[in-house]
Amino acid sequence: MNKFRVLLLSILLILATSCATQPKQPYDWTAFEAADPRSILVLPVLNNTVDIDAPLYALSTLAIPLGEKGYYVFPVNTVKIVLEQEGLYEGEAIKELGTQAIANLFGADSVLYVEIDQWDAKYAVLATTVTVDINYMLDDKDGTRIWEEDVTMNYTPQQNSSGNPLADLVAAAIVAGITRAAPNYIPLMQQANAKAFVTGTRALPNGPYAADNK
Amino acid sequence: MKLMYRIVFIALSVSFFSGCVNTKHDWGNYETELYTYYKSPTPEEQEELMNELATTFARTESKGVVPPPGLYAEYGTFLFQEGDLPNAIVFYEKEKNAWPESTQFMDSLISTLQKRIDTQETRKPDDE
Repeated sequence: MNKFRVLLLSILLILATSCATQPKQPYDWTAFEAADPRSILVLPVLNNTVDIDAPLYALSTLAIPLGEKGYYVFPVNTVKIVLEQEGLYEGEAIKELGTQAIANLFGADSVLYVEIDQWDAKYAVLATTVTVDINYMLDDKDGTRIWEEDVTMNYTPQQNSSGNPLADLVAAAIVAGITRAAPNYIPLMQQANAKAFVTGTRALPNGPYAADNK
Repeated sequence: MKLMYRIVFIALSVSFFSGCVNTKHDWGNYETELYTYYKSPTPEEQEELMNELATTFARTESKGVVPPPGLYAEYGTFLFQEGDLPNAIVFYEKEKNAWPESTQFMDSLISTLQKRIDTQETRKPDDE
């Protein structure tokens, strides 16, 4: 019986340790450090999904996290309008222009491409869960890729527990209903952006205006 | 003793929540207003976004700090779209003075608008 217990314990131990050893490759920051960008030009988002609102949520929420990181962020709407006046309405057409040409046009140190590959809302009675896959790619002004991150996450709009199960159930149903009628995915994009720029394993280094830099 | 715990807990949660609010820049409601404007780009929504930006400028300027990167220029672009080219230039100049990284972009916008103003002015005598 005791032997059995030892065996069970050792199996558990192996399982637990194997789970803990995740391959953590240190990110190569050489290219980023060589470019040492002060400014980031955020381009209109490339949408590979059928959700027409996804790129609007994304574009509206990108300036703040990058500005808070201490970078100069070009005015996203002004950039969008200038590009439209050049006849560039879509993320794909802008991408074809090439990073170098775009960076030259605006005098930017780096150019951020954001691509939304997945934006699927699963509607259920009590909660709507959205699964997103967003790719962030940063090029320096010569077109060299200096950073990239891929964020995949599930998002369910939060509600606070009242301590009363029945009240919680009703509240959850109301939240799900509201989400379906007029979804607000700004918090979702904020979380994805934070994961990419701030809290993830490849979080961006601080820019020149960050308090603790230079 | 219990009261002591409570005080410590309240103090901790206060510092936690104030930490959340403590951002580097004062962005106001830029994010939400910009999204709302993209979702329905009507003159009313544009006006709301412009009002929000103007409020942010008033708040930051009264504290003697610069507004976040890009916001002066965004305001300038809305003025430009409304046809107020001279004031658009004023805001592009503000952006340039606040954020030197924007110099090349702002200079090109300013010279484009200045050319338009000049051609409008030279055209006027011909019309009369």
